Amino acid sequence: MRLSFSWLSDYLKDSETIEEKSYKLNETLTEVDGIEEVKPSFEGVYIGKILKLEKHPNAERLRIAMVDIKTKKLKIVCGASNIYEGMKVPVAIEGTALYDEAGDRFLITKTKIRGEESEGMLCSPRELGISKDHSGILDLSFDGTVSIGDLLDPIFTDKVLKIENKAITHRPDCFSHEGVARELAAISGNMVKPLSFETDNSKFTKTSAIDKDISIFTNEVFNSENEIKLKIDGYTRRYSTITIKGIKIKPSPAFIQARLIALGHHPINNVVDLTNYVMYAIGQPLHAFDADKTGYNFHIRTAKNGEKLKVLDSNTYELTTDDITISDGPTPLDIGGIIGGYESGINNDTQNVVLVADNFDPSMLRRTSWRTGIRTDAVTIYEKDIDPNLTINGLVAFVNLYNELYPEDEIAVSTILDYYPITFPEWKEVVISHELINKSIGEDIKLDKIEKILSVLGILIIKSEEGILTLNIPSRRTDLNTKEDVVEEILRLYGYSNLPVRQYFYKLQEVKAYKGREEEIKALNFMANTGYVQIETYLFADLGLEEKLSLSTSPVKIKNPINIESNILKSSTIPDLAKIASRNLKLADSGKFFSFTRIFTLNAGKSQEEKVLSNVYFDKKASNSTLYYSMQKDLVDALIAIGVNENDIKFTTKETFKEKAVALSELESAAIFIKGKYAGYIGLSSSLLEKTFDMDKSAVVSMLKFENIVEASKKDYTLQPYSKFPSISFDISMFVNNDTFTEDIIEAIKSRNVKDLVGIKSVDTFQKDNRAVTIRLTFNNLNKTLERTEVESSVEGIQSFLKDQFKDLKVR
Amino acid sequence: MDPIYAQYISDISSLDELASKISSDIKESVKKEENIQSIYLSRKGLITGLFSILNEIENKTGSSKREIGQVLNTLKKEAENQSNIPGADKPKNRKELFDPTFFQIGQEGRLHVLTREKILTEELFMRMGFSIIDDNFVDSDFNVFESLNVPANHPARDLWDTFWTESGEVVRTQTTAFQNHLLVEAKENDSFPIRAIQPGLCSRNEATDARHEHTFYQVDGLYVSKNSEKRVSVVDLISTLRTFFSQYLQKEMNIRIQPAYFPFVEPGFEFAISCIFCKGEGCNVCSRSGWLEIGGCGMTHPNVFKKAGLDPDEYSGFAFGYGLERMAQLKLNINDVRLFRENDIRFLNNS
Repeated sequence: MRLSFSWLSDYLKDSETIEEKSYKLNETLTEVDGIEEVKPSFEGVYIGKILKLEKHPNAERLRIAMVDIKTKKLKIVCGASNIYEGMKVPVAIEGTALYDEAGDRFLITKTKIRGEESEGMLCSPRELGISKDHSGILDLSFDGTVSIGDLLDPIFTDKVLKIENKAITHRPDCFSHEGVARELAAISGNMVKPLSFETDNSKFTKTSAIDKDISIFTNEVFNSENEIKLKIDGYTRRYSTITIKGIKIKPSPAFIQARLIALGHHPINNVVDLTNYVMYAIGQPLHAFDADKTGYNFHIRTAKNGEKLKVLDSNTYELTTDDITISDGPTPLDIGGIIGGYESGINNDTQNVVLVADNFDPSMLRRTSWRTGIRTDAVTIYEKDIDPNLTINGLVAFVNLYNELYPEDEIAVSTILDYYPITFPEWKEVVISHELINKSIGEDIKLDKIEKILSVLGILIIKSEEGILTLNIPSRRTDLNTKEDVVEEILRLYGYSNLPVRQYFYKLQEVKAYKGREEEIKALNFMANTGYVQIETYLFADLGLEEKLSLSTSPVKIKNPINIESNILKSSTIPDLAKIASRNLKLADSGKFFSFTRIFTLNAGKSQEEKVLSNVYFDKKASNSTLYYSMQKDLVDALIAIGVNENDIKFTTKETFKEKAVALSELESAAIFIKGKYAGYIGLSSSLLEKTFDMDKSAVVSMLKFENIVEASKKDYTLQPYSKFPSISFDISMFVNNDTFTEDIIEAIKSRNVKDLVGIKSVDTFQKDNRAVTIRLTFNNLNKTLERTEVESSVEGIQSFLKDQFKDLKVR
Repeated sequence: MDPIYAQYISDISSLDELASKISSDIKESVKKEENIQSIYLSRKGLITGLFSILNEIENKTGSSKREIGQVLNTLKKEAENQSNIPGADKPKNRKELFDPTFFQIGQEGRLHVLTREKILTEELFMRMGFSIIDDNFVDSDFNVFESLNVPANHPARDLWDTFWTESGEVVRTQTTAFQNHLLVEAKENDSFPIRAIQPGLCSRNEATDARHEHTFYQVDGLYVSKNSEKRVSVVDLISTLRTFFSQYLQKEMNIRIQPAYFPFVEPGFEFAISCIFCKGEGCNVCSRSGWLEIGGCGMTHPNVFKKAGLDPDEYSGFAFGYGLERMAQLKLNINDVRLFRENDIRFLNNS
């Protein structure tokens, strides 16, 4: 939002600079984005009056004007057709500088045009940089606020305060100069000066009620007949409307044009400019229809699907039943609260106007604005949910301002037709105690200080007894409804920097951490200490890529992804790991990385997330089996460090998982089971994965489902009974067929349930033509020393059992 | 008399001669890394043995027993010095040839800087009595918006550009999403006060540049007390932030608050800490203000209590939130937020 400082100053009693005001706004309301100097695109343009017009002797289209600029009279040759004797015009004289649209400066000099001397130039709005209008000279005849001989420069010189809209969405009253001025005044302990056109507007008499929702109000200005017939289907909080007859379209006064330009607008004509001016002054959007085009029957309804309307920005929009429209008969006239229709707009021939100040359901306007992409200042204000009590002020401000500027027009203003089904009270009552205020703030603020703060904010103190304050809050403060809101207001104006710092005492209480945090930190530290570097990854992933690698079974899709590569939440960490391997294979010979992140699946229409620990290891100099066994050892060590029992860990090729076969090499990967439950995998990259990520060497990757690990880790450390007698270990070394895996041999031995056999561990394996496996068997008894002979016979039994089970097994 | 000692002194004619012979033998033994203790000093050692044949030495050299004793004692000291640690054995020979001074560093692993800062943040808040929460990244509209006083179609939703899943769930835009369930749980278990933080990943649909990331860690905190036990004040909020940031940055920190709008707090503030680079005098990092803007905070909004079924007149609390990346950037002088997730080994190993 842009705020003109000269405009704000109209309301203020003190004379602080814009920098001082900006600092104070920063401290108490919101951050000021910046201060911008607004300068005219001319230097030294005077206001003059055309005394006499003569034909140019040598050119048909040129005329010679005698112009009075008070200090002297000038002879100026001019080609514009709209000039007339008695017209007030902007005059550039010898030495005046003008800037063109590219910012290039050129000086006006005395010159001869077609043989006639010209001592200056009369300027069009475009030549002054006011608007794009170049159809004629800017007509200032109707501007009673400027006099012959005045410089135009100071009117177009201003400073603008820029405020981020987002920061004050809760303060619809601050989307206006009056609102921000009220804040500025309150910060300095003052109230604002009321402006002439906004004052004395409330003395209306209710003459009649059309029905329970529509009333008619009149006073000495608003007194001609109101011919409007309203039919309203709903969605409308308030619709206040008048007719004005005898309006004359002309340029608005220079100061209004200048202020609109400073806010970033192009002036159009007096009626359109005044509706905008009133909106920026008091924060109530207004809309003017050409009554001769619309007629007087207004129907406020939702649009029909497919109904089309060309609006003021010259675009045509297709409407839906979610949009509010005002229509006269079947044709829509505008999109309610958003933008006016093109056909019903004000033009140079308009004489009679229907002026509307309304208030709609903000969420409906917001949806329409989002769908159509139309962002007018009116929507920006409406969607903040403004006070419905403002509509009458809007109409009155327009009429007062028009009469003040153009008394000669003698316009006829009708009574106010006011649809207002549910009245919002003009004052809201809040009762609050002095004690609560101070306890909430944590500081002892005196009652008279509090009362002073409240009164400059325009809050009435109805009663103040024994520290209990009964307050009346004006309805424009839609943000102040509760005691807490009032506390904030007081604190805000008391000054945050005036608060002390104090230590306070906590109640003694258990401090908890989320489930698994302890194991998580153990795992992270273990991996870091074992030589793995942690990476940080995004949770978004590319569905196409995941599908290519068969990783997505039930992805969680993002409805509004930031780009196509981030259109789901990832269901596997393989792409993250492959990406980092690929990147670092180009930089280094070897690398070990891990990530602790989350993976997602859609389950019964809901996103389900799991924490996973993922590792990747590559080494250009190492064989694939070395890579595999090295990481496998790290994983097992980590699991044990976290608290998983080594006997509960199993690597198996018998189970499938989605990463197997496509992303990982099928015969070189294994599922990890902990306590009989799937808990992750380890495996070598597949050639497809390597091709996809441009990896010139295989890498081993792994994933552990963290919740399963937390579940399986030891929670208590009770001492288990152990034998005082020595145990006996035997190693069985054997060759097996390549289809037989260590897990098969261990499972087979386990299935024998051999007496006193307490440990079955794989201790070595290597690959020649066949696979060599060494298994260590440990025997122990709680109550006695085992005889070597009985153990030996058990081992022999196991060996012959294994030979039976596995065809090609040879004991070494 | 032990014949070995007799032989040792057989060609000796003066005490000086004997002394220099023993002395040079010790030196020779040291050179050969022999066991000085056992050869010279033990019960059967040379010097001990010579003490037992003082008469013979007296006869051989003509020096008095007293003089001989003094010389032998000096030599004993010399031998003891050579054997260093009294009683220690020196290996006669190396078992294996190696360089005990050589050392190497194993492959370097490392926690990511954000993990380190997250763990530190959690530990410090736990010391201050705050529990640590870790909820889901994908959450419900109710938790992320509705329960936090951001109804549907409210303009405050513009504050966050939200990612939605096709199934209609919300990618949390702020870890503040934990407030409602904390309040409901505390109500059910009557376990007030609530003191908790949630440092977790959030995402907002914003273009990424050197200062903005669509994915980031937010640390969100909540403290709620029953008014009958303690009414929570703005001063409590500031004091908590001040205590935390002073510990976190190992410096005495001041906190500045300024008004700001967040729907779930009333009043709402932005908070800044004293600039850690210039001690408040103004520098480039803090734009000459002396303050570093860190995050938002405020007093729990009555509607947040109401949505959890609590009477806003009976409870009060404060909340705060800030970005972990920004803190890490300030602490470690990292000028581009994108570096955190590029996973370049040069960054990972040096941050």
